[in-house]
Amino acid sequence: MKKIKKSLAGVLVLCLMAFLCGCSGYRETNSQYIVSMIALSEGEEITLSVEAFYSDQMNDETIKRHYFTARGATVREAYYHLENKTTAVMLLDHCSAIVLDNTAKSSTIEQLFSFCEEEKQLNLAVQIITVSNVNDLENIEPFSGAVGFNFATAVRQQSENIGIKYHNKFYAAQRQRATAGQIYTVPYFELADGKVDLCGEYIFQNFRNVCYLNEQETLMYAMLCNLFSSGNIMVGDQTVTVQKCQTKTKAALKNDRLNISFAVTLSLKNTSPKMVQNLERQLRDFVRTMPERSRVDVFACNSVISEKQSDLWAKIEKQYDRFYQEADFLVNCKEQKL
Amino acid sequence: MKPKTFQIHYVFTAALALAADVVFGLPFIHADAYNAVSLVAAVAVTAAVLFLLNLCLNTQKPRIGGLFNKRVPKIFGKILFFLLAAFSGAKTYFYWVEYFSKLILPKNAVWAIAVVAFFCAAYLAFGKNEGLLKIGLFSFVICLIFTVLLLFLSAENFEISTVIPTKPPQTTAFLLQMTDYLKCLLPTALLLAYYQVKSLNACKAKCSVLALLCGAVLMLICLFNVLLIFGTQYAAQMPFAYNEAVSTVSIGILYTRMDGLAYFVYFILGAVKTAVCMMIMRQILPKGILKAALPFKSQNVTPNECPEMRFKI
Repeated sequence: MKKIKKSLAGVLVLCLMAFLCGCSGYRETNSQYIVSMIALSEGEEITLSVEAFYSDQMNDETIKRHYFTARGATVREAYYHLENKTTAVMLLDHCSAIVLDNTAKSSTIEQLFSFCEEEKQLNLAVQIITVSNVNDLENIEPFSGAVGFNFATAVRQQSENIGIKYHNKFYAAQRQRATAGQIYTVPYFELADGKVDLCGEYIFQNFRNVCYLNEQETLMYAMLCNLFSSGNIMVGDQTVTVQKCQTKTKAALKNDRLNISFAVTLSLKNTSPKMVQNLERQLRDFVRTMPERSRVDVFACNSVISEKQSDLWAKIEKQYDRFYQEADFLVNCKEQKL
Repeated sequence: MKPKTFQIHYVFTAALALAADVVFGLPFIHADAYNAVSLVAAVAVTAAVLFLLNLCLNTQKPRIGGLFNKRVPKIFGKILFFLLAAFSGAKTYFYWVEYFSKLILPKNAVWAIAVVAFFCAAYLAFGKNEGLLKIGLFSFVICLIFTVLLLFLSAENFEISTVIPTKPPQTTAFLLQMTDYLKCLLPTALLLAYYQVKSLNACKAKCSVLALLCGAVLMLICLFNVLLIFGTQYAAQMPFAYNEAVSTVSIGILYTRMDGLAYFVYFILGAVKTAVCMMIMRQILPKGILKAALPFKSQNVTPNECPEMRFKI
């Protein structure tokens, strides 16, 4: 009995260690800034800004929001300058968003991704966000304490309400880069009048943003790439409730031209055949504009063909870009009764 | 410790030791969509090898096992198992120290972490046999609870398509993946079978296979957690992918992380595996050397204490 008690005590100590380790490197709250967001823009130099919170418990118990900005030739250097601006330590564990704007070049985004991987404090589930202008972030009035958390909350709510799956968490973007033709999507927020408004997304290939999609196009893109689960969509003037949406992509080579067809199976509520036809037409028009707009295979058809149609892939692999640019796109929508 | 109690404790301690190298290294560089299947296949191959080994290591069997009662094969076998234990223990120990020095204590000197880890494992290995076994039993239960909890907590980040194969398996790729897992599982399984024989003077195949199954459950939970979040290709580029997968779990608006649970899993896996290897080395070394070198007293179960174990398979 005594031995069992000893063993149990040992295990209890180990368990306590497990929980206490979760916040290793304990520091007083007044010796650290809790970072909720990192923003990156680029001019002649790389500009890194952070939204951070500080509580001086000795004098005042209120938590104050701070916004720091620093410049450097590289992301790492800019962050180093940023850290030197304060005497307190930057705590990145609770950072929820990394914000970019159009000024960021692909080489800088690549540096940022390396920074995220190397900086072990950063959560790999940090969300990558694009905004109209990073410089406006300082003037945004946060509705839930921090602008960084606002972005994450808005993306989550949008996903829940409309049913779009974003691959904008850092690890998801990295996963997509490794598998799905290096394509991933990043939500786009318009910053105006001190408010943030989610109004579309950017499609990224590797570290480069290749195309902007507005709200309606974001929905159609999600439907075609199986990133849409269920929600309300606008077809013309009418709202349709999509309960289920599944798309199968198939390719064929006819007269030295690639035919790519998207078979969209939908489970709709309160709809008519005409509405399905309208949706099909809208999707077809959207798909046909994409090769010219983006210049890259944003639907990651190449990975679908290479996985499922290896014979065809062997024929077209070397000249895939040409085949894709000249491809004929077909969209076939089919309603399925639940 | 009674033989029945020993068997139960052994099953869970061995499960932790078996899972250690796999969890530290997964998923390996050759990983593809059939990675989980290859792990199951590797477990099956290991189980088959254990059945064969059961016959050889059971020294009471006059025809096959009797071979190891002869002087030359006995010494040769001892040297072989000693080297295997040293190699396997060192491999886990290096992974273990690397994990702590890179991820948890990056600002501390590596040698300091290595010394603490070594003494931690040595304390378990050179103490009483039952001490290690009891810690193994309790820790396995806690590890299982933690891994299941982390699996549920990270479920919202899962992408099912990452584990659904789209192509039929390729033989070479599948065999390479299986070899990666076998490299981790086979040496440990052999050592654990030897440990059982040395402790009980009998090798029970049932215990070994049960340990393998319990270990496989732990390994598969960790593997699926990694693959469902990162996908095989991205995960294969990561060192300590399970820790990274778990670090994506965040609770509440402040993005509170649950890394502490993963630290425990890694700590206990490293400690148990290294300690088991050290204990096997201790059992092989002549007692005179140990008595001169160590202040600890060892207490193993001898055949006289459990005569009913002698002839069982």
